[in-house]
Amino acid sequence: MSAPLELHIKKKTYQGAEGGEVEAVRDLHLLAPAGSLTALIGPSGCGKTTSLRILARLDTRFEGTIGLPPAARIGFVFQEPRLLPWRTVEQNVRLVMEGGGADLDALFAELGLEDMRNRFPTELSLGLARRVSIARALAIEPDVLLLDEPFTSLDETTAQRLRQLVLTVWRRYQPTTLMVTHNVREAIQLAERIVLLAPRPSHVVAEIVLDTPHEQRDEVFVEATRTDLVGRYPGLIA
Amino acid sequence: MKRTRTNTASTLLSVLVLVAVWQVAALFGESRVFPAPSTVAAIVAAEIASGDLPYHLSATLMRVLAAFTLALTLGTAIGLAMGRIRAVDRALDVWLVVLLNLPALVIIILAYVWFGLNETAAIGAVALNKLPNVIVTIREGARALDADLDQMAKAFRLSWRKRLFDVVLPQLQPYVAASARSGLSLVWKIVLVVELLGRSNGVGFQLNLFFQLFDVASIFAYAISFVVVMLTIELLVLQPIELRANRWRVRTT
Repeated sequence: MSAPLELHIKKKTYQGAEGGEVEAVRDLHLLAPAGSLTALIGPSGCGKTTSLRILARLDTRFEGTIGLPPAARIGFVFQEPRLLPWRTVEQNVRLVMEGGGADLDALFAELGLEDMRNRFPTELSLGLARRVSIARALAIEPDVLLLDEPFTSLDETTAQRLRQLVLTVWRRYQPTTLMVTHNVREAIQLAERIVLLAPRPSHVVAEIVLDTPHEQRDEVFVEATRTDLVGRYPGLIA
Repeated sequence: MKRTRTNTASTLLSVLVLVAVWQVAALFGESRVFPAPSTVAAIVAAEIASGDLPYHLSATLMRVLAAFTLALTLGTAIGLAMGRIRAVDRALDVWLVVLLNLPALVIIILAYVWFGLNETAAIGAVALNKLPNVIVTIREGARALDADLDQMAKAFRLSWRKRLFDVVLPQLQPYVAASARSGLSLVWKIVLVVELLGRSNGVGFQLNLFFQLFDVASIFAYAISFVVVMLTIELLVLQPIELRANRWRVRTT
């Protein structure tokens, strides 16, 4: 079900606002084993989102290769939920499914959305809308799950609950998961591997393997690991 | 629900005031050129009884619906293409400006001359008159489509059918509604001209006949009957559709 993922961006440039070319990424190499949970961390504007967009083939103007079976199903959780406001929660989820007739009870129950199925997205809080967006990505039974800062602009309690939820569904469905974040604590709490990116032109600085079981990653662990990382990569990790 | 009832009441009241003003004005006018509402109502009743009014009304209505549907479908397709694809926009823009500024009468006469005095030419001419307005409105809507949702559709590899009916058309809905609203009234006015010039039935044909007979009361009867039909369509078809399409919008009042 889950597929290994490889991405090599040799070069990615943007047309700058003043007309010149801005080199956003140079020689970025990403590798994620099947079923793993990897966090991409780096200062803003370092090409994290660009990498996700290239992986999802939303951006094809780059030099490099995507190592992913062409038939691989990609579930994308955008930074903003990007739901269709004129469709109900359930219709939004069913929209991306091919068959459409599948039973969604288990998925909705898992994400705590049973009572929201017939609501419209405009009636939901941001936290709930994000959950729907995650449900939508999972509904296609993705081989690869791409999460673009899925916990930003949420209050800490809601964000924490959503993090646990992502962890639970990742464990259950085991898609190869790539999560972009600028929150180091969040990455330490969730990821098996942290990939650290350097600012523009972006490339991989380090890969940190976290093999501590998730249950043992309490606040003390997270804080200690963060302090350690800040010491090792000053300027890149806040 | 309560608000709807108050709305209906106020609409009714305003119609009553209009009829009252008309009645009073008719008292001072000459009855042949400015007939009273009662005279007109009597003619409407007689024309319904003879079957003439329903016959001509339905002929006109069919033409209106055919031309309207044609213009709206074609206009939405072309407007969408022009709004999304720059090459198409550049290629068709001049045509659009020409069509926008070509008088309705010229299009109608040319259609009859080129394609003969037949139904196809009549409906085609009316649709062609309305088409550029639909295109202009829909093009604006297509330019304002949400790029984020477009990317979502791409990321999840939605079929073109889902992209069109679930993602794009709902976004165009207010623009379609706007051109439908202004379109229906424009189309029926042009249909009358088409009928007057080259058809042997319909409200336009009848109006021409009554004009030659100088029968102002009958002209009133036919014109008002058709306005009532259009009003009914507006209230019973267009407004409920719009209400349904806007269900998802959060009411802030």
